[in-house]
Amino acid sequence: MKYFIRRIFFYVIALWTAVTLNFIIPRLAPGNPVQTLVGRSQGRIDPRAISALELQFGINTKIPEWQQYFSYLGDLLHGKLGLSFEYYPTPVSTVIVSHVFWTMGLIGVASVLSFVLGTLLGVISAWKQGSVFDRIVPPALTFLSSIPYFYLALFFLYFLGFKLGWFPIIGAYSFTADTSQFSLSLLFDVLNHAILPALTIVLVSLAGWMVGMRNAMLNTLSEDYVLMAEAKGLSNWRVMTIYAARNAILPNITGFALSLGFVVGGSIIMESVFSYPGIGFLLFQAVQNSDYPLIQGIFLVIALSVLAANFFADIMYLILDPRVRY
Amino acid sequence: MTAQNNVILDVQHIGVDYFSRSGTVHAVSDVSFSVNRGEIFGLAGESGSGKSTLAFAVARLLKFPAEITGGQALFYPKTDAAQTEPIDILQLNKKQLRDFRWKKLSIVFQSAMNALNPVLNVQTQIIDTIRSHQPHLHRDEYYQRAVDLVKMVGIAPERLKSFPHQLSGGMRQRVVIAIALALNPELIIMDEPTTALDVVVQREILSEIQNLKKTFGFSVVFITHDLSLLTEICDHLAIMYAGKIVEQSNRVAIMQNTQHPYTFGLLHSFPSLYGEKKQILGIPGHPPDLRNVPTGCAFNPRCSFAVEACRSVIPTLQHVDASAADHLTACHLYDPRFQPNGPPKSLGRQVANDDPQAIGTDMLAGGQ
Repeated sequence: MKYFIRRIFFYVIALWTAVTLNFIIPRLAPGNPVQTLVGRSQGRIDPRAISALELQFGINTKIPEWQQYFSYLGDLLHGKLGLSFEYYPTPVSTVIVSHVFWTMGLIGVASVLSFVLGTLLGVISAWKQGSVFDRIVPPALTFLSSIPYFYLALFFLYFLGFKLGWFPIIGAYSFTADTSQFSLSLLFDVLNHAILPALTIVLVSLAGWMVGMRNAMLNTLSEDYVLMAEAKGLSNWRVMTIYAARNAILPNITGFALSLGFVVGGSIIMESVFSYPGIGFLLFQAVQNSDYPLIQGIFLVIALSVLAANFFADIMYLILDPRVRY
Repeated sequence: MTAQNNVILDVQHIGVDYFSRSGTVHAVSDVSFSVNRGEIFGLAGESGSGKSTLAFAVARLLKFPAEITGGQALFYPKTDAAQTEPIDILQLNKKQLRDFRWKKLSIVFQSAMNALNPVLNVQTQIIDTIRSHQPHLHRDEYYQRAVDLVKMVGIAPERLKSFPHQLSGGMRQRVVIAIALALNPELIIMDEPTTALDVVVQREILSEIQNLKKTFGFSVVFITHDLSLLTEICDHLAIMYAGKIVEQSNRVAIMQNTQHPYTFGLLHSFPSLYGEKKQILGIPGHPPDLRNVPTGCAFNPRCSFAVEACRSVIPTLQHVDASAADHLTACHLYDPRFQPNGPPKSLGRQVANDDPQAIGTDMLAGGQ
């Protein structure tokens, strides 16, 4: 319990630091959002409109920075992240929420799939060390993961999507689909669009989990307690899962929980290649358009999810490893 | 050797090789010994002498790159019938082996620190042992058995919920012993069960083992590099060097009628707690590289009595003393072909100088 309280304290400090940095960094950047908007309208904008915008964005208000800081914190507590320029006047929070669903759905499922599959393959490969399986699968998957992601993604997109026409090549659903209400055909359409991006993500990340698990597992397999479990006459299955894999998975759990934190941040490359309407794609566009409030909002969401993932990792460790329960 | 009724384990001509890139290592070569029912049989030797490998071979726990190259290990289970049908351990198939393990033969591993799974509590590790052999008991029965087992080794039942890291080294070793007793085996192999413990705890564990042995009547193969300890608790013991047994006899004969120069070295390499100061002789040199064992007797480069034949002819275990039927020694010093005048006098004088019996009593007194 003491451990738990210490961790929570740490998270509060980390969160405050992230939020504060998020406040300071945009203010250090040259220019301001109104100038950007003016630039985009190529100067054909009424000075009164400029001052109206300034008022709305809270720029040149002569309010001291510390007061801005506190009203910023207050707004955050109420979930107010400001207005996006790109999607003006939609609030940033609305924009993020509408995109985060796709990212979490696609990359989240792909990450979990990759972790589970990779860990399983790693366990088998270590258990059958030196077998045909162990000699072929890890190198093959390592080869796949060493291909730069965008090449692999473009290759799949070109051949499976464009040449063979098996899969759609753009978006999260068909342009013609009716998204106003849920239907089975919509679900299939969405799944159909998700296959290629998910497949490429799984393929490139599988080897990491597998090799990590294989190595950790080989280490635990040489431990005395595994030998003793075998000598006790336990079934192979129990020795493999409860004695060897259970202990070997601990370091991988941390890695996995941390990787979940980056799920929300999305994969900028994947979402760009497949024009997938997720957070990564959104961030990419926001950067291109100097949409500071949106960038800031996305950063905040990413920071929050990384912290949440860390917290998740801590809890998982607490459950799985009795040695940290102090 | 014919299997008498009181023999529980009869090992014949076992050999174990390790395959490595720099050549095959004969970790154990042509070793034979037998363990009587209800006795403690000691295996002594320096690190790398093959004693653990030998024990693991008997338990069929060796993995690649180790391989049993020959021999047999016969296990005589307890039966009411006059004629006992031995179990040929090395011929058991996977299922038979899993059934045999722990029920007949269990093992206490070298380091209790690592023999317990760090993420499972004591109770789970005791119960899963019982459950794998007796899968249809009720939950409460398993629990009761676990309680009985830890009580037997002097641990409070509340400790069942503890994880290994919450226990002291001595307690962990007790838990490991409790697990070894879980299915009431007839033979327990103990691989350096007390080496990682301080002398006081070591003493406690040893007397615990002796008490339990009295209660349950199991036999023990006790492996250690600590010959002084073996001469205290064992009925019979064998001294290993470079993968071979060089001397084998009962406890008293090993101490009072030591024959092999290597055994002399081991017996004289620890200090006496009482009595006058004397020089500790020790054994010069290092254990041999098993990829490149000296020709002839493997001990010859370190033996101050080595004669020409020791460098060319491999000695075999022989009855040196006709009056001691169970005393076997592999040493040319007792072979009239190479030593027509008998073993060198200086070898005998060492025995006269420091009475090995005194060594034994010293150690006993030291533990109290």
